[in-house]
Amino acid sequence: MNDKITFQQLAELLSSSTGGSTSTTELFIKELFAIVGKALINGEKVQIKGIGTFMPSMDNSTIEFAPDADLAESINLPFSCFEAIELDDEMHQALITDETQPKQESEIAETIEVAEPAVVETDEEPVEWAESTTETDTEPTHEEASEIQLEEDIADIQTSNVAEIDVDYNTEEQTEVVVEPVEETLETETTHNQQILDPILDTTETVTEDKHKKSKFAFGIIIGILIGAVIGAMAMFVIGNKLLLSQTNMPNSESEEIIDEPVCIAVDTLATDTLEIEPVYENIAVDTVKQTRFLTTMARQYYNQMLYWVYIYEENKEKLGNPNVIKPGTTVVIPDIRKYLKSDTDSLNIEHAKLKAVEIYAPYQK
Amino acid sequence: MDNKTIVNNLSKKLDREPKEISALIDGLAAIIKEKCGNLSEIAIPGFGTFVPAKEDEKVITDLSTGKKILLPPQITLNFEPSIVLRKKVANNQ
Repeated sequence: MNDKITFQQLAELLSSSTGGSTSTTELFIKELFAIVGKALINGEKVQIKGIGTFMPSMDNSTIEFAPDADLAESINLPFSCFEAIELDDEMHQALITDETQPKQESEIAETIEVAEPAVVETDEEPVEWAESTTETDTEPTHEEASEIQLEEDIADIQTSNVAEIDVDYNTEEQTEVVVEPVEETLETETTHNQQILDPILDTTETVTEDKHKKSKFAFGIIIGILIGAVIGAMAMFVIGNKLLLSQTNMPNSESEEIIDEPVCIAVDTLATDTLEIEPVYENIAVDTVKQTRFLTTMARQYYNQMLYWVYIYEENKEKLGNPNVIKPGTTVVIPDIRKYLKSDTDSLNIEHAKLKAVEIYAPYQK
Repeated sequence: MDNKTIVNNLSKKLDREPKEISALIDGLAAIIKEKCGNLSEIAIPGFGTFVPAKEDEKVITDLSTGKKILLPPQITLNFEPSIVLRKKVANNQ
């Protein structure tokens, strides 16, 4: 495909298809096109069946060729399923928009960029144009002069600094206030001025609306983020409190067995009248050590701190032994963490737990 | 010059039956169909080159009715005469 068939290849192909020798087919092709060439040189029109018609052009500068209908149909066989379709206006428009959509987007972007300076005109022009209208009252001005004045104003404002532009874009009310008197004054002016200003006003309105929408959108996003952050913080605070209460007071849903009876009761019945009663902490659950479930896993689940495994160990040390070789299937009691925590600050409690771990490991180190 | 004249001339020159010449012409036409259908060019030295060209689908306007027509893609077979033949034709004017 897309290659060039040489004379030799053509002769070979013809010989293979007709069964003759290559030299015969070579001679045939050579003689055939020699005859055709001679006829063309003589200005004759030559028609070969199955190939087409050759004829010299009107000025004899070139050869015109019209392929045979059968040949043209055969080489277009891959596209024979298609037909020429008469397009409706809607279909044609759809085709055009499909083809030119990226271009239109870029054009819109360009028009916005071009139109941006025009917004500035409306911000500063009320003063300028109001002055020009007062001038028309006192001294008559020509249309050309006002046009030149407008162009100068546009040029001046286009070179004004960016900060002013940003401030002006943000207030729609300001632009409206500015635009309306301009329109009114322009109505009293010549229609030519009106024609000049209308496109500018249109573009300024559309661009200020776009800018205002963008600023509104950005402002809305910021407000939304702030509200979300506040709600999130409140929710975290409430959920955190609830979790803390549930961890300290309620047994975990994953615990296998809930102990109803208090295990540790340290009440001095004799000295209740004179001594302070120590708080009674109930064990919150009973759990089983598995191949993938260690004391640290349980500590993380019940206390949200894996270092507090030492207290589970402490509670069950009589049946555990070396903390690194606890047999899977060993049942352990999960104590209330408040029983062991001696400080209100987490950092101190963690330090204490670390020290406790050193103590636990000490007997088992060689 | 029509096909019959060419066949007769060739049969005389090659000392072959017109039937055989017709079969060879048909065979040549079949090869041109196949190769040009695959967008391959066929070059005949001293005569010219058959150049197939694929045209993409396009929308044209019927000037008489003003309606748009979507034309399907197609392959057109062009012929580019060799410089030798072109010069001979031009000089013989």
